[in-house]
Amino acid sequence: MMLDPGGLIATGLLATMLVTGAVALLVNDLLVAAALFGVFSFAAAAWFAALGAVDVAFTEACVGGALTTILLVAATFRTTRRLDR
Amino acid sequence: MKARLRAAAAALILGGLFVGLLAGVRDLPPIGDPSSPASTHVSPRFIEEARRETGALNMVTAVLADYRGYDTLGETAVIFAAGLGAFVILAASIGGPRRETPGPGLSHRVDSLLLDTAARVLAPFLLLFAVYVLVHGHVSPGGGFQGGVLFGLGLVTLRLVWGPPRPDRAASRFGPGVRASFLLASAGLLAYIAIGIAAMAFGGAFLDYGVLPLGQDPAHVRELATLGVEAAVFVAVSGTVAVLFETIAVGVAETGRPLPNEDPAPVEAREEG
Repeated sequence: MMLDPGGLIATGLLATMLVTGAVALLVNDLLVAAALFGVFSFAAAAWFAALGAVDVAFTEACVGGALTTILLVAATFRTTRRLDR
Repeated sequence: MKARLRAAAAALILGGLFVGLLAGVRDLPPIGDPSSPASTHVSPRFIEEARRETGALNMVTAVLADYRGYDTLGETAVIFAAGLGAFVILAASIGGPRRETPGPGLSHRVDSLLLDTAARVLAPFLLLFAVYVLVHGHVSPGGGFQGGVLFGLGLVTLRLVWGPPRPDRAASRFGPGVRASFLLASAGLLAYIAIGIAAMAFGGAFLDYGVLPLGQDPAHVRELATLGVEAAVFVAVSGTVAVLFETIAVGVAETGRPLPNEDPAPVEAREEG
């Protein structure tokens, strides 16, 4: 069976999104969750770029990867870092 | 009882809206259907005519800022409303308890050579690249939205390292602050609307750039107007990014005043000396 490299990359990126998203919801340290969401957005941006939607990938990298991560980190500084469940 | 009634009414209205929207979705053609009207009429028209009609090599920019300029105006308004919403909600809760002291870099200046140097190197390139992304949006990926976010991030980078604007620290008085950021965001949104109304004044429809008296070649006129619209989006988005950062990271009452739980001793010390 021949493995298609493009398909492998896409699968890896989607798996990264799934894992980082799930772990971000489960961890109790909100700073870690914010960082994981940054990784999630970066994988999403790379996936959009792999699909040929470069403008969307650009936007996702700017907004999801950078801005949202900064705002989430700022929000943890202003509220609390530990999540008590 | 009254609160419960209100919640029930809200649930009923939202539930009804959800069901109605779901029913509407059933009438739409399947996503990616090659025989849907969008794929047989609209997309080929954009693909074949965008270059000739709008002068833009990047078709995404032609669609976003020209053909569907009305959508983009709505999106810009939504982003502005998001900034306004964050401001209003956090302003209402600013008197509430704060469980943890705001971290360094958010409420006051960090004295770190590494951060300072990194920001000095990074921020100018970030700001310049943002403008490049804006003006190059016609021919390469990017445009006003991405450029605006990058420009806002450049401001946030400087702001993170050099602290909020405070009257007692001239050296760290950097960044637009909430009020100026709101002015920027509103100015961008209003400029977008003004371009649309200008087209109406010259006999076209709202946002119908082709009629503007900017030259002989209609495609070139639309290209220029698209750049104008993108610049308006750029200003609106970078202002909103700054508003969001200021309100979420620093607090609404920050401008010119120390945060409630910050030690104001240095100010007094300086006044005495």
